[in-house]
Amino acid sequence: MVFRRRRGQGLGAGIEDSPMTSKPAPLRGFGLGLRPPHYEAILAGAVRVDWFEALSENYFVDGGAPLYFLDRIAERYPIALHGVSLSIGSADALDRDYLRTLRRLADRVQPRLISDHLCWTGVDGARLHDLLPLPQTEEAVRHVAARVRQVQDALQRPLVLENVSSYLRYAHDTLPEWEFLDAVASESGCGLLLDLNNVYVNSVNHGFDARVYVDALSTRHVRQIHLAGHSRSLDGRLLIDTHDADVPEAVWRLYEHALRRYGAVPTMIERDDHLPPLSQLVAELDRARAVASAVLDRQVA
Amino acid sequence: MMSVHRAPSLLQAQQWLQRSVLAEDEPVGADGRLVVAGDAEEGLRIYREAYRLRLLEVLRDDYPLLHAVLGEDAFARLGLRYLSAYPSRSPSARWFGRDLRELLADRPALADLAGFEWLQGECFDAADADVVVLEDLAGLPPDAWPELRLTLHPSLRRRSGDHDLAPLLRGESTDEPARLTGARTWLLWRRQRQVHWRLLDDDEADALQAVAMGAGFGGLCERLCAWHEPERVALRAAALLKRWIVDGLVSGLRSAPMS
Repeated sequence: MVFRRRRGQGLGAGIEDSPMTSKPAPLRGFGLGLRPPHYEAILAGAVRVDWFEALSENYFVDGGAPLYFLDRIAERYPIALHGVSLSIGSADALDRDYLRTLRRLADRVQPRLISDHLCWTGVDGARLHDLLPLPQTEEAVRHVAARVRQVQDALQRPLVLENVSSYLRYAHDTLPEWEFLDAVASESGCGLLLDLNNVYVNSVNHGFDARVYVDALSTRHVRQIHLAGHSRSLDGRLLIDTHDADVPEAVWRLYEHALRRYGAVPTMIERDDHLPPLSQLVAELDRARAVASAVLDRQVA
Repeated sequence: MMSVHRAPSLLQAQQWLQRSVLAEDEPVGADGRLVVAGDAEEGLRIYREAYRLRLLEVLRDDYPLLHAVLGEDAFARLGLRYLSAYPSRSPSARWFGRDLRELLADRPALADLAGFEWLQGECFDAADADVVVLEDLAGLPPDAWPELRLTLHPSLRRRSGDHDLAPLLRGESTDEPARLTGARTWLLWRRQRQVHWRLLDDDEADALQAVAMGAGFGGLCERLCAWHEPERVALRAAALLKRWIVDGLVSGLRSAPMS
């Protein structure tokens, strides 16, 4: 497989050719979620962003503006594809049409990484368009692991799974979330996209120490980090993963903790709603760069 | 821990939770058995609300003018009825709203509008194709014209309706569209990534229908004979062809030899 050379690499400078031609070059540095209101600004000039993460399903179309902009941005920046509808944990069979469409998109943009969520989005054919939590059981670990292998075969690329925020737990859970996540990665061979906002949200909602979660994951599994903001439920008791606000201080502190444990991990800010101008997100991303430099330089020293 | 129930299978747990999210009055878990721990009711409320809000937002994005005409409350009521009647079964929410006009059978003006707005969405992300330019016609030998066939751009959509959507589309009004004196055809197509529309004259609608069905330029002229005096037909056909090409409606020309 030949990977297109792209400009605008930023941190780490240049694209390292992968020694294994069947694997994409790794993602490096600091990225942003790709959102349509920012298309023009991204193409208007050099943006201090090392890569963009595109929401896969937004490009499951035949043509027009979405693919036009994605193609042009992919010529200039590395792309990661991030899906919300794989439904890797559903008891339903995997959706083969979905996988074929994702494969076509991946062949088109040659992403550095393909991710989705460790969740289910519906059963018996229904689609709730939400990231519903899985029972944290050995049965679910085995179920997901077997399906990860099928997905990787269909895509001919590695899959990375992200931890989700949740607002309830199953009474029959047998594993804490971090053990569940680590077991899925170990058994399936998939990488992990660790959303630190989701870890923090769940630590409040379900009453655990977020640092214990970060410490428990095997360093080798963690391929990418998401930073984001959240809001509170109406009665104030639960945190909701709305991704509609600046990254809060508690999540920045957790990011420092994660960097000390995992070292340099490609990191991005994921903003879905109340979208500010691109320059504001780039400034927030600069803070992530500064936090990473401070932690990692101190480690080297 | 004492438990009188065996742990549910993955399928059972998902079916129970899904039923509880979809139906407001469904208790958490089958037969009131709790499948979730902690503050289950508050957690469930968040999932229920998020499900409804998310899909209502998808409908608002797909039908901004219908939303403007109905207003937020009536649109939300329509959306929730739709969510019950046509729950999403597609992995991409892009296709969720496709049948909304089915719930508007008793409001034909709004059904017309909904049909139009859905086609706008189809037009927006239909397949790309090159477009023909007038110069492509220049070298065509005279005897090739009768069999000249056009390939229309993949984004092109036509829709017949009998309500005047133009004031809404132009942003001049948010009133319910008025009834026209007869059915007219709307043409939608994409140029430079933007969706364009116009109302077709009846002869043009008929001619474009013939072209879409595979008629050559000769067939197009025959169709126009129903609308114009014979001496004006060639002129009108040439004018239509020119406009279609200039507007970017034509993505290919083929000319089969006369048999």
